[in-house]
Amino acid sequence: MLRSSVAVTIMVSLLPLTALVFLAIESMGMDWGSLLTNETWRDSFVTTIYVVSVSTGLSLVIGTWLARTVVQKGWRFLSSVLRLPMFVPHIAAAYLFWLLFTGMNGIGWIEANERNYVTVILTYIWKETPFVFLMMLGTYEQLNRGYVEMAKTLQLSPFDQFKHGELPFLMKPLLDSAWILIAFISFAYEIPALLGVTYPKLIGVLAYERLSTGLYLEATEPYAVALVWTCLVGIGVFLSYVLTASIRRRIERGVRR
Amino acid sequence: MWGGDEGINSYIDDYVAPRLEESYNVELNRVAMDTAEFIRQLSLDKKADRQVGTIDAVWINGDNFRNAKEAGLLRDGLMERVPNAELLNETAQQSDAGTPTEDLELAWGNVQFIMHYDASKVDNPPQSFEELRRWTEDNPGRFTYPEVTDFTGNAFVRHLLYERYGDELDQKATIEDSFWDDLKAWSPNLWKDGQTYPKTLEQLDQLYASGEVWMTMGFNERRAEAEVTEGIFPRETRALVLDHSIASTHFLAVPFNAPNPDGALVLLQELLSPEAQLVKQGPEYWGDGTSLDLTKLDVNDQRAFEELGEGVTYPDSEQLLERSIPDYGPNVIDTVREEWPRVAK
Amino acid sequence: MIRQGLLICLTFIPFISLFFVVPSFEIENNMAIVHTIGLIVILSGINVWLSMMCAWWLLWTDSRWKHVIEWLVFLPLFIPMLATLFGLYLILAEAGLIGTYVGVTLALLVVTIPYSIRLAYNGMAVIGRPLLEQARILPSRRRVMYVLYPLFSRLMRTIALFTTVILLSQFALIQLIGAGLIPTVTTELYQSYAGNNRGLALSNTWMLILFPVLLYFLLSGWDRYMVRMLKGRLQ
Repeated sequence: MLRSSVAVTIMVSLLPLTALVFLAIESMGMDWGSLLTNETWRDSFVTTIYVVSVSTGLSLVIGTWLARTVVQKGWRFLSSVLRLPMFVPHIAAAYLFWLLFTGMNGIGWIEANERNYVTVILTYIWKETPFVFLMMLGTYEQLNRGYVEMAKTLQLSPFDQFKHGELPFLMKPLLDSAWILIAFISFAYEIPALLGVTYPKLIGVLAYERLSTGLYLEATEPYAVALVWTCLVGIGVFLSYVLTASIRRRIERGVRR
Repeated sequence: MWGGDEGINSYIDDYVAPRLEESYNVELNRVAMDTAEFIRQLSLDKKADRQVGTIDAVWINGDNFRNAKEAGLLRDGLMERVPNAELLNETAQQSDAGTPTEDLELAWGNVQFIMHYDASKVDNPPQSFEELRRWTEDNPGRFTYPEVTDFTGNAFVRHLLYERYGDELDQKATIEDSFWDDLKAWSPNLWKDGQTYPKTLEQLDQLYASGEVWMTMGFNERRAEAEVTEGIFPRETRALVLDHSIASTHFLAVPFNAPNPDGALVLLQELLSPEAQLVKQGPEYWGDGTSLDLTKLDVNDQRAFEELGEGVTYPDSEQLLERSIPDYGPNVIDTVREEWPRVAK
Repeated sequence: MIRQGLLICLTFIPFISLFFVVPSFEIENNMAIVHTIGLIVILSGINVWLSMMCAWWLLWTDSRWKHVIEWLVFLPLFIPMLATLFGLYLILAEAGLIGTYVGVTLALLVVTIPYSIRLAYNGMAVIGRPLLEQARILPSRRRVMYVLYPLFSRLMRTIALFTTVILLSQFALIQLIGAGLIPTVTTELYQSYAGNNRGLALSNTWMLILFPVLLYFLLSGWDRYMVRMLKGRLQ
């Protein structure tokens, strides 16, 4: 029973990879040059990078800071309240933010459907910070305070204390969360479709809409974009793990000893 | 079928479906789906050679019909199998936005493009598209149109194209850059400074209903009547016919792999019956113009159509007919979709 | 204290919108609710089962394939969801599963399972091996009932909850794979947003938020009942 369940799981997990193969087949014969020179895609690409980096970056920083503070100060209640946004589906969160910032309710430059994508970023931060928080909470609870204490006795500045006493241990969960968030945010439809603008659209919205409008019945474009984007994320994941491998290994050994 | 309008949905669910059940014992199950969506669905079926599909009848027109026709997704020979097709207006039945129908679809309704404005806010409504542009300069933020992926938004841009090119665009579907530059010049004075556009006509209607913008638009000259009676649109909503107005016919068709083609034919027969067409044109549900040729009906039915009368939001019907223009072919629709993004930039 | 209060307020702000408009509480489409509940039940069940089994195997079984498989099951987390979706769409179209319940369920399973395995893996690693080893002395039925179930019930609840939240977030997936034939509360919400019915959109939002909450209370209630029953039996 155990083995067959594992086998089924493996088969299900293989599907996304097979999906990529199908994408590759479908996007063969694509005119890649035209994709690069197409202004609509290029602008979407740039905007997407902006939205992804700001929302992921801020979620990581805020989430980590919250986990650290909650552990240090023992804020039990906050810790449970912070989990709430996780139980709100993304599309519902987007609608809540849309209602909050639309029409008459817009606060100055924070308004739904405008080009800075501020409301999209806010929604993502609200949704993803708790995720980062939970990932980091476990790490902080198990963190050996000895290193920070040592950094303190060495009279390092607070930032250096953090850098040498905590950061190395946070590396792996941070990296994991960062890439999960990037993969999730960068190529999604629901939130930017509700809160975004006509131009430039985020890349996921553009791809989905190109795919689902009749005009592009035989279009290979969205498939090609999906493939390219996956490869970019894949390369990013690979590089970042390879580059930090030595540090992570050192820490794991150190901890075990 | 497209399911974005409550009136249309309840016409099918509350009027047509019970009648069909009663008289023919055919169960009608309305599925709300974007037209492009089921075309894609059918073309997948075709590719996989699935002879028994899931859809019995579709509501279709324009570029979607052209796509479906080219891909061979529809059944032909509808004229001889649906007796009521005899009654159809022959001009309407002949071609669908420039694509010959070739018996693959039957005309269901006939409508014209029209704008509506709130007379309590707009004192001197513009009379032409040029005046409309100047009006937006005087009233910044009070006008917008749906994105061109939307059926209506695309049509609005096509009206502006007609203003410049007349019907010569059908021969050579090239639009000069200057046209797009001129259209871009509208942007700063549109709703939200033209930074974003409503995704759908329904969103534009919502903006109009809440008073954020002062005009809305759409195919079907009678569409605002029910909205006003129900208090959704402002009470002072009036019709606005500019230089010209695209006349559009929408159709019914049967997919090549309909699981119950006979049921579909019965449905078509029912939908094209004078009674059903009369209720459809009336203000109660939908207000969609009939596709029947009234001269072919008997006297009682003719009189019933005439007695439907006028609504306060209806335009002057003679004027509307006078300014009616045929639609461009699907090529122009495609070109607008491809090139418009630079306007939204 | 003040800082904590401020943070709590910030977390709660978006919920204010729930009270802006009076939700219409009209139920436009009964099928949408039936489909949604059906999908929640089926997918939570499969997810809990498969992810627990897989995590168990990854943690406590020796196999030289372990590392490969560990990578394989976590890899999908890093593939953007829409890319998976587009590819799946092609695969399922080939298999003729577009517009079917099976197709949608399968696609949802693909996008939820990596997260579930991750949760199960982390959760089990925390519980640790010794406790589970000790339980081996019990006969298998008793072991499952008195040790494994109580130990894992929280974890199972979390997995079910996460699966629900992820599946409730999917509009593009259900629309594309379901070809619009399988309406859920999510697709209804999107359509009422794109249409002009704020009351309806809001009541759908309420539902999307209440489904996980209800599930949470249901499962916690069940857990409490089970624990009490088991304790009673042990005495």
